[in-house]
Amino acid sequence: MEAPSEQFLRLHPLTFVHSVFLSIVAFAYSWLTSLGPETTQFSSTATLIFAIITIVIAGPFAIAKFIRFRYYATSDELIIYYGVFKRVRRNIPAERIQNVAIKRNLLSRILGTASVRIETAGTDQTEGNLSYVGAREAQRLKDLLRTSKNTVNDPPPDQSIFSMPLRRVLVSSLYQFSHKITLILFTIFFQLLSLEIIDVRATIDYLVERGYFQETVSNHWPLITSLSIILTVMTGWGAGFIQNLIRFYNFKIELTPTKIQRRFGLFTLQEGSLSYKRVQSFLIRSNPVMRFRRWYRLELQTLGLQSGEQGFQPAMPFARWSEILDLAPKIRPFTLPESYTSVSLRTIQRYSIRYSWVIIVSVALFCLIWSTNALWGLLILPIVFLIALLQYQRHHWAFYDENLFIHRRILSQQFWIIPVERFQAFEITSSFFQRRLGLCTLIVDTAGAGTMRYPRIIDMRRGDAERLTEDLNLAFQRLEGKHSSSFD
Amino acid sequence: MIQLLALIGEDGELNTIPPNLGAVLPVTLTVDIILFFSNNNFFPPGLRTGILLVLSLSWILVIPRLRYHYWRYELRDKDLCAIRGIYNRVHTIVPLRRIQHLDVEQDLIEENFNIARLVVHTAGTRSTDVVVPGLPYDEAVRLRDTVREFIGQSID
Repeated sequence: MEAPSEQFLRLHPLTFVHSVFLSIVAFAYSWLTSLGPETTQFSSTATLIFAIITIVIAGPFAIAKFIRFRYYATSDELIIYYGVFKRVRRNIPAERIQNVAIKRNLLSRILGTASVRIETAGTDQTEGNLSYVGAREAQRLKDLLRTSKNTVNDPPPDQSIFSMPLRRVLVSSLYQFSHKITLILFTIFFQLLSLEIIDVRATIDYLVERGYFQETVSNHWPLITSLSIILTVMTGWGAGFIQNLIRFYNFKIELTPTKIQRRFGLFTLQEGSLSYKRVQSFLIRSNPVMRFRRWYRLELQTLGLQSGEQGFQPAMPFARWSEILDLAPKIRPFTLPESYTSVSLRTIQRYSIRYSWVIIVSVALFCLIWSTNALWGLLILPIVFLIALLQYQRHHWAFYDENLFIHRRILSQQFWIIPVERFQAFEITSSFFQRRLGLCTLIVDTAGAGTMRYPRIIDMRRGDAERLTEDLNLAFQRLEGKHSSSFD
Repeated sequence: MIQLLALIGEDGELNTIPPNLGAVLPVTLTVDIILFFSNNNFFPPGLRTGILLVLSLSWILVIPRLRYHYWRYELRDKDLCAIRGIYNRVHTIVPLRRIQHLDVEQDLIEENFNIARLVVHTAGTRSTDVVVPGLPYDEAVRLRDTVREFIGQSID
């Protein structure tokens, strides 16, 4: 491979500050976790070895990586040379570039750097990531690659179509709960407990001494338990509040004739545009509290699993139903159907039996290992029927005006809108029990469906499934006949 | 299309997969089992091994046959249908326009029996690869060429 010529540019020298910062965090983490009352010679040696590896190997490697990384952008293409052991030259033609995303976290905002991600329709292997370049250079790259001759030049939008003022961000944060951060906080808490930095017993004794508590209260376990539960919920709520505030601060979304432009974040500023072609389907979600106050969240399922959270990008993190119906059809037109078809009533039977089975088996197990008190668990059985009934009521679908609409789930409700032209394949599955009841599940595969969340209709009557698949397939063929290919 | 689902589990209009598959699957399964049992002292050479062997033997005899029995595929005008599964019956329909590329694959054992698998790749994320196994090699190549021709036409 020929060496890159002189015109090729290097990354910003302050990239090193980023990598040094990252290794300090990694080192501090491993050091903290290796501490504890049972600290042995072995664990401290391991920490020492880790530190040496970091300094002796990772340091020069970072320098070599920096030296090897060169890039050159013209209005036609972006060329990147990289790799220490395996050298790679990657050409990304400008017409393949779907999006140029600029991300700036707190550190890079202090240092005046930015990370630029060049997204294509392909996988991770075909994308480019320049971390980090100067902030002005990032803007230059974005303008250069965007104004290249093959991409359509959209007029800049005059005003933001949807934005969240501080008040709404604060309100939306009130509805969030983060179990992830709660878990992390509790891990840290127990780590500190085991290090004897925090002593719960001593704290309670101290509070009793000062007269805030009475000894009897501190020994009263139902009170302690409920206090802990309240504390956990409050922690999760607070963490969710802060996380949401930091993430969606100053959220703005603008629409041009072909692209969605978004900008958001308090510390980490995210900025990027998303082509309409990348949008695979709409997902409107809500939790019970949000629904009670009539708030919803619009997410876009996008092409490629690398982008966003499991392939989903927030388009309107917190909005009224009417606002969503105002914006979403501009990305891909749709009209809501007037009526929906329910799934089969037999789904109640199937789910009741399935859930009851789980409960009966676990009660039997608890009876064996604990005591016959576990038989009280059988009182949950009527609730099972209620859950199955609710599940049936909340699950319905419609195929209307070249879009498939699916409503699902009880608490964290999902509403899917899938345009016909995004279908990749259809799958009808039926388990042994479903076949006995004449039911089946229809799964519509799009190019963005993740493993966790994907559109499906569970327990349809078999006849309905056949008819719907036929309709969907016909509509798809008709539409594909019109435009010969929608994925250029 | 309407009759298709009714056809699950019945013989009839859909092509069945050639019985060679029935010969290949036991071989691969036996290899797995030999590997599994080759290097262990955990099971005493007695009851448990015996039970396991009987179970695996009946598994070898029954499962591939069942799997073979339920495997169906059909290449239609504008899509490819495949039905498979013993407990969970999965019926996949891939519109031919959505096919990104096609492979005819053959491993050593399959090569020995002169059969091949047709692997159909789409851009979708769930049924990315639709596999039609156990085809005679010529049939797999013929199928691939037919589909390729269709894809070529639809792009022109």
